[in-house]
Amino acid sequence: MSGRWGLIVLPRTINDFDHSLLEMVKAHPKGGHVGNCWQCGNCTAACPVAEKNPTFNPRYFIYAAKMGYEQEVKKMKESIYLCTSCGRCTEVCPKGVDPSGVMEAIGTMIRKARS
Amino acid sequence: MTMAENLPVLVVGGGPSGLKAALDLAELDTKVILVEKRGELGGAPIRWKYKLLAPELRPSEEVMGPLLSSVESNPLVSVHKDSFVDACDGPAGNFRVVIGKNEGGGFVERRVSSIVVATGFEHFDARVDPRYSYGRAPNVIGINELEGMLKEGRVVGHDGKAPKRVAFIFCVGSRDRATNPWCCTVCCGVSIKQAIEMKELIKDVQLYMIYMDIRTMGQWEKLYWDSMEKYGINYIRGRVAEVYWTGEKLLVKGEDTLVRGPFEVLFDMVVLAVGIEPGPGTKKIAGTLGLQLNENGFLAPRHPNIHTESTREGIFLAGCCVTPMSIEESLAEGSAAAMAATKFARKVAPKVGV
Ligand SMILES: Cc1cc2nc3c(=O)[nH]c(=O)nc-3n(C[C@H](O)[C@H](O)[C@H](O)COP(=O)(O)OP(=O)(O)OC[C@H]3O[C@@H](n4cnc5c(N)ncnc54)[C@H](O)[C@@H]3O)c2cc1C
Ligand code: SF4
Ligand code: SF4
Ligand code: SF4
Repeated sequence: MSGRWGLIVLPRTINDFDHSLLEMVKAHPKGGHVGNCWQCGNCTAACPVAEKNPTFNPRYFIYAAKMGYEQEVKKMKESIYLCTSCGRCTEVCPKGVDPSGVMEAIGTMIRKARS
Repeated sequence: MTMAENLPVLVVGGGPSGLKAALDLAELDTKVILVEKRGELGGAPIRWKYKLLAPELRPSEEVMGPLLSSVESNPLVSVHKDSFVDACDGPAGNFRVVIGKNEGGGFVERRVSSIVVATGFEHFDARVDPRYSYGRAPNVIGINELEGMLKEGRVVGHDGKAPKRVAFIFCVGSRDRATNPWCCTVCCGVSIKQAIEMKELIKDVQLYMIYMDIRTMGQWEKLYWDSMEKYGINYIRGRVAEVYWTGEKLLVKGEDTLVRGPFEVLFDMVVLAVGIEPGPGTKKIAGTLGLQLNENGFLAPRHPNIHTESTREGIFLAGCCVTPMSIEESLAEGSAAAMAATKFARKVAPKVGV
C-alpha cells in the first residue's frame, strides 16, 4: 500500500539494484540533488496532483528511480508527466532535493531511454 | 588536606570513562587504584582498534593517546592490569577491597574512600541470532571487526578481494524482543561513519544501509546527511530475515518497506551493526559490590536520570555499564564520577589521624 495511496501493490521480489537511471537523473540540470532524498514524503503530502491521483507519488517515483526498480519505473512512465511543475513539493522538501525538478529530469530521462 | 582525603579511590574498568575518572581524580591530587581485567588499558576503542571517531572522523588517537599516556605516567595512579576486584567490605568512605590478579597471580588488600565502576560493554554476539549466518558464512562481519580492517586500510573478503557491493544491517541484536530490546544509540552513527570510510578506501564500492530507523542523535546527524549527499550511500528501509551463502556470494533477504516489495539481492560482504550489551565483567562487579542491575542487565543508578549515583553509598557509576553511549558521553560521565567521588571523600570519609 505504501507506494501509491489507495492502491494495493501486488507482491514482487526485487533481485537487483540498478543505479543507471539515477546517474542520468543526477546528470540532468534539475536532478542534481536527487541523492539527498530520504523518503520523508513531504513532497507527496504537499502535491496537489497526488491528492487527486493516487498513481502519482513524487516520493515514490524518486525512490524507484534511485534504486532502479524496473517494474516501478515502467509504471511510472504513464503518470510522471502529470506533474504541473507547480513547485509546492520543492517548497516543502527538507533536504533541498527540488522534487519538482527531479520529476522533470526523470520524465526527460525516461523519454530519452524510450527513443 | 586530611588523611581521609589521602585514601585512594578505586576505579574499576580502564576504558574511556574509567580512564577519564582516574585522570581527573589524579589531577585533583587524589590517589587512584585502577583495576582493569584485560592486559591493556583503553577499553573498546583500543581493543577493537578504532581508527576514526564519529561524528567528525577525527583520529581516535587524539582522544585516547593523551588519556592513556597521562594515566600511565601519573604517579598518583596505580594501574592493575589483568586484575579483578575479589571482595569489598567495610563502610562507605573506608572500604576494604581485595584485588586479585588473573591466573592465580595473588591478592592485595587496599583501603579506599570510594569506588567508581566503569566496566563498559560487550558486543552482541551475532551467532546468537542464526538468521545473519555470522560465524557460518564467510564475509559476514561485525562493525567491531570492520574497525580493525579500516585501521589497517585493507577491507577484503575471504578471497582477498575488495568487495564491490556491501550491505550494512542495522539493529543486529538490538530493538528485538528475541535478543535485546534496547537501542544501542551509537551503532547507526558508527555504521555510517564506517561506510564513509569504506567508500574513501574502495572508490567503486556500492553500499546499502538496511535500517528500521536512522538514529544519528544530535549533531551526529551530519554523518547521515553526508553519507547520502556526498558519498551516494544507499538506504533501504526494512529488516533482514535471512543471510544465505550461495557458495559465491551472500544472498540477503528482506522487505523494502518503502515499495512494499521483498528483496533478495546478492552481496560480496555483509556488515552487522552489532549492539552494545552489558558484559560478564559488569555482572561480576555488581555481585562483588552488591550493586543492582536493571532488567536489561545494566548497572542501575539510584535514580534513573542521575547516572553517577549507584544503589550503594560511596560507589559511583560511569559510561556504558549504565547504558549505551558515545565516547564523548563516556568521558563526561567519567569526569562526573570523579567529581562525585571527590565530594564524597571530603564529606563522608573518616578523618583518620587528624
Ligand atoms: C564498533 C564501535 C565503534 C564505536 N565508535 C565510536 C565512535 O566513533 N565515537 C564514539 O563516540 N563512540 C563510539 N563507540 C562507543 C564507544 O566504544 C563507547 O562509548 C566507549 O568505549 C565506552 O567507554 P567505557 O569506558 O564506558 O566502556 P569500555 O570501552 O567498554 O571499557 C570498559 C573497560 O572495563 C573493563 N572491565 C569490564 N569489566 C571489568 C571488571 N569486572 N573488572 C575490571 N575491568 C573490567 C573492560 O575490559 C574495558 O577495558 C563505538 C562503539 C562500537 C561498538
Ligand atoms: S511540482 Fe509536480 S510533483 Fe511537485 S507538487 Fe507540483 S505537481 Fe506535485
Ligand atoms: S520531500 Fe524531499 S526528501 Fe522528502 S521524500 Fe520528497 S524529495 Fe525526498
Ligand atoms: S543505534 Fe541505530 S542500529 Fe543501533 S540499535 Fe539504535 S537504531 Fe539500531
